[in-house]
Amino acid sequence: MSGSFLAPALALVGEYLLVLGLSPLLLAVLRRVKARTQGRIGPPLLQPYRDLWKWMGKDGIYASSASWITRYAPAISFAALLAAVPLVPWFVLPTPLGPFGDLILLVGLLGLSRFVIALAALDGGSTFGGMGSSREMWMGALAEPVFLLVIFAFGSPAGSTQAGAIAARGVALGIAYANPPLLLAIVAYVLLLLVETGRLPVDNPATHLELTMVHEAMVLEYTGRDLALIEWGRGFKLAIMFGLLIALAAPWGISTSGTLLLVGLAVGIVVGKLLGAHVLVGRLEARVAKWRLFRVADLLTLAAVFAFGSLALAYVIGGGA
Amino acid sequence: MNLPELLLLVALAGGSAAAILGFARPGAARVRASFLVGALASAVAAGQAVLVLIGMALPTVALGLPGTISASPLLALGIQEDPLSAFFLLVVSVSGAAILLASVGYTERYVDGRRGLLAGGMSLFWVAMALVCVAGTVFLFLVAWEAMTLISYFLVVHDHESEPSRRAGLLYLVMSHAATGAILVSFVLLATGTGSTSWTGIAAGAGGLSPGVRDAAFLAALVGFGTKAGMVPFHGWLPEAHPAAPTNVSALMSGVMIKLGLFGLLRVALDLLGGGPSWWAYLVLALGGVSALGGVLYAIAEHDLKRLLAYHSVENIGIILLGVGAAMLFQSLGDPVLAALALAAALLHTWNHALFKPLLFLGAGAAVGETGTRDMERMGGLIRRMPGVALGFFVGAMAISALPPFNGFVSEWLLFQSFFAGFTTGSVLAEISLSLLAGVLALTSGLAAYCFVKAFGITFLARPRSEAAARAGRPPASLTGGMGILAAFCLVLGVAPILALDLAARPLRELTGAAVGSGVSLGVLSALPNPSGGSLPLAPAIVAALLAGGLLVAWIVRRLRRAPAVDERPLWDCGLDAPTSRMEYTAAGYAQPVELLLRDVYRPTERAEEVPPVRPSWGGLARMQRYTVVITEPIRGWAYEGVASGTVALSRAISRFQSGRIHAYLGYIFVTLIGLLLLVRAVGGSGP
Repeated sequence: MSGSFLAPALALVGEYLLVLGLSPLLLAVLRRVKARTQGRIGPPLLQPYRDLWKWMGKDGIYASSASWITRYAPAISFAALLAAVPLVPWFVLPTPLGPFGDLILLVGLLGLSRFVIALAALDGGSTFGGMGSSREMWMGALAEPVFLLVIFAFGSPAGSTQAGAIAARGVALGIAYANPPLLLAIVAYVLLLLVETGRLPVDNPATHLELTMVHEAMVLEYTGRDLALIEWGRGFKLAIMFGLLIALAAPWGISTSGTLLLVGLAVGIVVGKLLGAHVLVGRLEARVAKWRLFRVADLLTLAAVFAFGSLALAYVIGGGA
Repeated sequence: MNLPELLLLVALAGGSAAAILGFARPGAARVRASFLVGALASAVAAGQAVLVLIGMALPTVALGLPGTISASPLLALGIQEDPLSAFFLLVVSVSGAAILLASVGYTERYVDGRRGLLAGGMSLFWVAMALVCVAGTVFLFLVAWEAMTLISYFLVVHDHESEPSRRAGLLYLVMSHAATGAILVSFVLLATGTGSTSWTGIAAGAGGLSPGVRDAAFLAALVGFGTKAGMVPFHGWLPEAHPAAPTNVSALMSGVMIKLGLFGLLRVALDLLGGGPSWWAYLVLALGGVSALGGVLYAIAEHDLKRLLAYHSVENIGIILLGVGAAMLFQSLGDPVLAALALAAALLHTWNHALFKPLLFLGAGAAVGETGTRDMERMGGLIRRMPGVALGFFVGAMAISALPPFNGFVSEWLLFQSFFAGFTTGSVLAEISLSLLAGVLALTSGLAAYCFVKAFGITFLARPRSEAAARAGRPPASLTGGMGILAAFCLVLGVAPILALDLAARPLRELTGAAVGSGVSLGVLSALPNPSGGSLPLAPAIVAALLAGGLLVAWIVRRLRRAPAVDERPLWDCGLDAPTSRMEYTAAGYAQPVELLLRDVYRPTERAEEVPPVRPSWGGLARMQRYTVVITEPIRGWAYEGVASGTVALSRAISRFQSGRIHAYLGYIFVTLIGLLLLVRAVGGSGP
């Protein structure tokens, strides 16, 4: 009993360490690729780690009109995103949590993180905060049905809403896993990912213009350790959304055996895939301009159509995504 | 007399005693005692319901009138508590106890005489609702139902000096009675068709009814009970009556009473009729989807805090109806296990809503009571004035937005799972509609989160937006205490929903016929095609543990380096004048992106008018315009007005027969009598 308990526990710790440790680097890679594509040198790869360390030691300051919501929101948001980490299959199958928790839960945790930060944005009473909060919740509300339909599209052939079960089916089927409905579902998910993680063309994380900000406007009032929690959490969210993309779209390489060597190999593969995905998004970001806020609704509608199309196509041609 | 019988008697007698205490010659102490006795009686009833639900004992006929009278089928006034009754009694009583407790302090603003009426009325209202739950016959049910409606009408018009209160009360009374009429039609059809007036008798004979009668009985029940529940398009009374009533009454009505509409629907559709053809299910699903989405959309456009909450009741009734509809669908497709899952989601959400909605209403009551306005734009900053209330409202907002680790998330999660499991039923129509409705449900919960960031943020956060908000007093401790009980339930059922699912197991078994094992919820869920099924009800506990772990990591991260100094300064002012509350984001501004996106749905009435210019402090002369946007439900325009004017026209037409001459009336009576005799002759072959 203790033996069967130990391995998942170790894997769980491994997953947390992977995401905690790697997410700043992934952010750095993305920024670097974007800068290079635009003909700039870009910040060094260790910059996000230095920023986090700097913020952790920095004095804090709160608006006097703010309440405890402002003080606790970053930690709650951080905790919610961290809790979502083991819901994604990273390098071992079955996932360390086993049958506990699925992708709908992941949506709930992302929602929790968004909810508290959106409240904190209103807390101080700054106009920019309110603006960002309203926009972020608006996008979140529109993204939620798309997320659910995407989960249904990926999950229905596996008969499960768990990412672990879906990935396990992919690994077992090999290349036969890839089929047209899967492709449609992947397109829908990628569109959703851009909205959920606030990348261009939906939101520009590097902007300095308050009026166009969404996420940045919400956390404008934060500094010090709170900012460290928020930015690190944002790194997890990026890693989680990309990790999920990889696990659902191309799960091959995830280890299904407990051998240390194979697991190590799987870790290497997933890190490689994550880096590759970030390079792709970095190159995409360098080429597109930010869209008007209301075009995001078009983007999400398109994603919903793709997800629903995937379900319908799976039904027509049989078999499914 | 066994223990549950005794407890039920004590609870009902206690509630009635509380009512008498309240109505009797008042005094502050007596009013307080009335509320406390009512709360205690309610708590006893909750305990009794739990006893019945865990199957300790099941009183069949507890309080029948003795001897010869009960032999007459007309007067067999019988109380019967089956598992479905017990579950709803539990729902009614837990929230009832918390609300009555919270009312002790909340009602201090009323002068003693009025307060006594409120105290007695609320306890009596609770007794009527409990009786609706445990009525075992058509007659007792209708009497209790009517008592419930009338008492709640008097509670709605408690502030009868105000014209809007009276108007709202009238609308409520008229719609409720139309609904009772529909319910009566349904019951008459069932009782005449089966020759019985007790639930057990009707249920036994309902199989022999013709499909036409079954359809008619179902539709009449759907209209009647749907009106009480606040189902679109019969919800018109709800956004009017809830804001008009004192807020603790709104909490009892919105949180508890409207659930009894669902109870009636479940009773007729699933218990008495035992399910029906799939078009019943699709009808319920469609109405549920429209209610859910429509409710939340109009809630977003609403800046009156109590009306906003009222529209959210419509939304949540819609969500519950989605569960009921899915259960009926699976039932008609011959899959009782899936039906049990969907119904579990519906029952759980029923209870959850009965917990977080009163929590929100009581919080709103404190805010409205202390600021003297229902307009959110004139609140703000209340989190400093009433921290306990704000915390309670925060919990309620997260629960209603379906966020973990609170209870609202669990029931919506189960509902998603049952929709997802619908993919295995093999029916194309079911698959398409369930995946579409899953999208609708997800959009609804996303929009609910949006709406509650607005509601909590604008009401409680930032700087006060008016003088009244800045001077708001501290609400009484009993109000915060009542909210605390409800909030604790929200958290416990969010972390350990297995407790509630266990209690729901017997009604589930009885309504769906699924072999729900004694490992109850596990029994239902492990039978799912989903490989994760068996662990579903335990997952929320794991999530709570993960969240706690995450908070621990956050705490460590915050302490990785030596503690820096923390300072408090005025908000960054962009180098201009110090920001005032006029510069804060407003509720109207917050909701604007959704209103703009869904312009075609809302069809707002916009008006821009020139107002006299004023000379601003910085010199200059400004032209000023006032811009107003009014969003009303289109259905109010054509449907409700149409019904009203139609009724008036019909009454006018009929009044022509009203000549005032006695011999004409005698003639009418004679003609009617002849007509009835002919009818009986033609229809009833087995006359005496």
